[in-house]
Amino acid sequence: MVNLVTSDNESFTVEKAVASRSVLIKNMLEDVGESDQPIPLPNVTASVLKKVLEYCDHHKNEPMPTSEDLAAEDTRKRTTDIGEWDQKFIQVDQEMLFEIILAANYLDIKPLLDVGCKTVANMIKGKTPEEIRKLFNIVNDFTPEEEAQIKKENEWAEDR
Amino acid sequence: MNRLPVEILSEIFKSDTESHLRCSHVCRRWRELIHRCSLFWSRIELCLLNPELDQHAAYWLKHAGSQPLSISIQCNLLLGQEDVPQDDDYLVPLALVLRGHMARCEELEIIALPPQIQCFMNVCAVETPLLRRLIIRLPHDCRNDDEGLLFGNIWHPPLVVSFALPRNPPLPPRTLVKMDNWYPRFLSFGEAITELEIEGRVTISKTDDLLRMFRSCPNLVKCFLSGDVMKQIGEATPLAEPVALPHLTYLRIHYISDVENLLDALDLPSLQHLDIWELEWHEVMLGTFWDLFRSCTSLSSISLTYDSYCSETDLPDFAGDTLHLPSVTRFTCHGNIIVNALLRQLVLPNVQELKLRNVPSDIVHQLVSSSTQLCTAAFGGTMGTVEDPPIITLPTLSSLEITGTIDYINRLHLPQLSSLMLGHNVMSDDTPQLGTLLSTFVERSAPPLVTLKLDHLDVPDQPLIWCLERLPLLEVLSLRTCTTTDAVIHALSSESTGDFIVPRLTYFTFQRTQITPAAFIAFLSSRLGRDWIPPESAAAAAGGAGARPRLEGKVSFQNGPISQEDRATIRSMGNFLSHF
Repeated sequence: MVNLVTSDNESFTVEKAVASRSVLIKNMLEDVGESDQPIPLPNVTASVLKKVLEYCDHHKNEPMPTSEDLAAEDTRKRTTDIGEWDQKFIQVDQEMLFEIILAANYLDIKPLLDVGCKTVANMIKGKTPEEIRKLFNIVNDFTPEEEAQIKKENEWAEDR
Repeated sequence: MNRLPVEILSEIFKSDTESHLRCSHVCRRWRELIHRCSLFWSRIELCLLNPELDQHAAYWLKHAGSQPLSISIQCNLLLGQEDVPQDDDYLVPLALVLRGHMARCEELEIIALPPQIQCFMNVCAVETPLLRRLIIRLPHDCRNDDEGLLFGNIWHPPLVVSFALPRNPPLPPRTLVKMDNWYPRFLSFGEAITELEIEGRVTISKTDDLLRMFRSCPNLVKCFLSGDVMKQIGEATPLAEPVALPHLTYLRIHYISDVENLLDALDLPSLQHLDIWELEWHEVMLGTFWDLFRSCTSLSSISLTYDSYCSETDLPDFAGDTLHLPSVTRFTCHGNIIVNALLRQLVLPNVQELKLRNVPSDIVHQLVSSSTQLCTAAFGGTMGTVEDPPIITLPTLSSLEITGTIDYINRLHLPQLSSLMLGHNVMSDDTPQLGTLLSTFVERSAPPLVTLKLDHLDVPDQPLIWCLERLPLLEVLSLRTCTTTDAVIHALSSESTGDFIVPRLTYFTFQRTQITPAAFIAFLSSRLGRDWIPPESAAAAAGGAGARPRLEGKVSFQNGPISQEDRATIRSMGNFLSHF
């Protein structure tokens, strides 16, 4: 078993196979060897880690993506398809979604990061820039010159 | 969202590259990120009606950096539209922008009018070493140019694809070219082409032009040529050199009625698959196909089919030697008086799939007699009178379809047949009598039939019941437009010695038979019976020990409309009612 300690000082004891879905933790365990020492995760809160561990537990028996898999993914056309279980898992509020993405990035859990990124991409799909700004509370900070160029790009896109 | 680092934002944008332009219009941070990533700009979609076409292309190319390019140029014109821009206005400036980047173009699609395409090609006559996919089409509304608005009545020149290949280093050929309504000629780029598809709905040119086209792409592996059956390609220039395509393995030619003019001029030593569709048979073609079959020793699949027009009615004077084709494993042919003369000379010792239509039964008999590995056979159309040739044993045949001359089955002994379809030739007014044909066959061969389909036949009940009692492996039973009555369905419904006849039945079709709703309901009640697993528990059925196979099928009734009550009863038992 592995003991993980979150930024808000909560402890989680989980199977090694579950914790090792995180490449960061897996590498730490390999470096430290057999040890009862808790592993601190200063960038992850308890509520987020609980959710991340739920994902890791569900996928603990799946093969880890190899470096070849990751290289191949860069060259082939990506999709925004998400598996059924993952879709239900990621149905969380926006704040938690971004926390999960950040945690997956920090803990180096590439499949979870993919699920998060695809979910955000699906939220963006089909929306106008104004709708995207509203959805994510983003400020339009373009200069008038940039706005003019954007207008032109829109005209080109409409002609297609 | 604002807390996400750029590398994660970049991953999000890469998940859906089609949204990248809209994302770049959201805020400055997103825009800078997308503008820095050349991958998003490698697919360039351009519209020929855009007056700033060249600026659009230049803008995209600047952001695409050194990425390999996929370029799509479309002209969404309607035929006869008047405010069409002149080619020089938009297209030449565009081509001038693109020509400096064609060396890294992997895919190019142009949908435009022929003069526009030729204009583009002329300006972009540069090296295209990475081009793997070239698609050239007419705008959708211009594809069926029956009135000749695009080409008029004058013969138009070929599209000269003026791309070139670098001489050093030599590149392996691997390019697919698809075109419609126009035939191409290639400069050195032709050597890169391995697959060529041309659909010439408007025109497919003349034989000499096609030969020049083939000569310009000597590394072809697959070719599909589709013409127009009303137009002919004519004879080649006398004494023209034959064109060798030493790597061509797959040749499909549709709708070129005088195809012999082309085939006679091609040398195809590696050909494996030949598919000719819609040709007009003349006596001269016998020599064409005879020579082709003899010279193409790798031919494994031959299809000479629909509609084999035949303008001559006299038996052709053709009596060559017997031609053995040991490499042919699939042979499909629609006969007529001319092609039958060719078939009479053929021996197909290793054919595994044989499909013949309108071929006399004596020729069919001769071909199947010479085969030792036949697995699948289908005989249709008019086979003439089946005389009394010896019964042939085909120990490997597992699937047989006979449409029309069903009594031919009595000339066959098929001890391994697992699928049988006997049907009616729709071109004939007579409904064939099945009589005792099937029972005689079942008695002789005791075939392990899994599938039995009877279609448009006069089927007497008792011989059919007798057969079903002797087909314990049958899983699929189809009776369509047959005279079958309730007697057959009663037999299928009643258990004797603890089980049904045809105990493995899992799929049935009873359409337009004499079967009544009452008998069908009794059949369902009996077969679904006590061990029946409802459809929604199909998963349980898969693992349920001793459970009967799930029964599926379709039924329609011929004798008047079915009552509401019967309809409701049948629906309560499953989705069995046919819409037809």
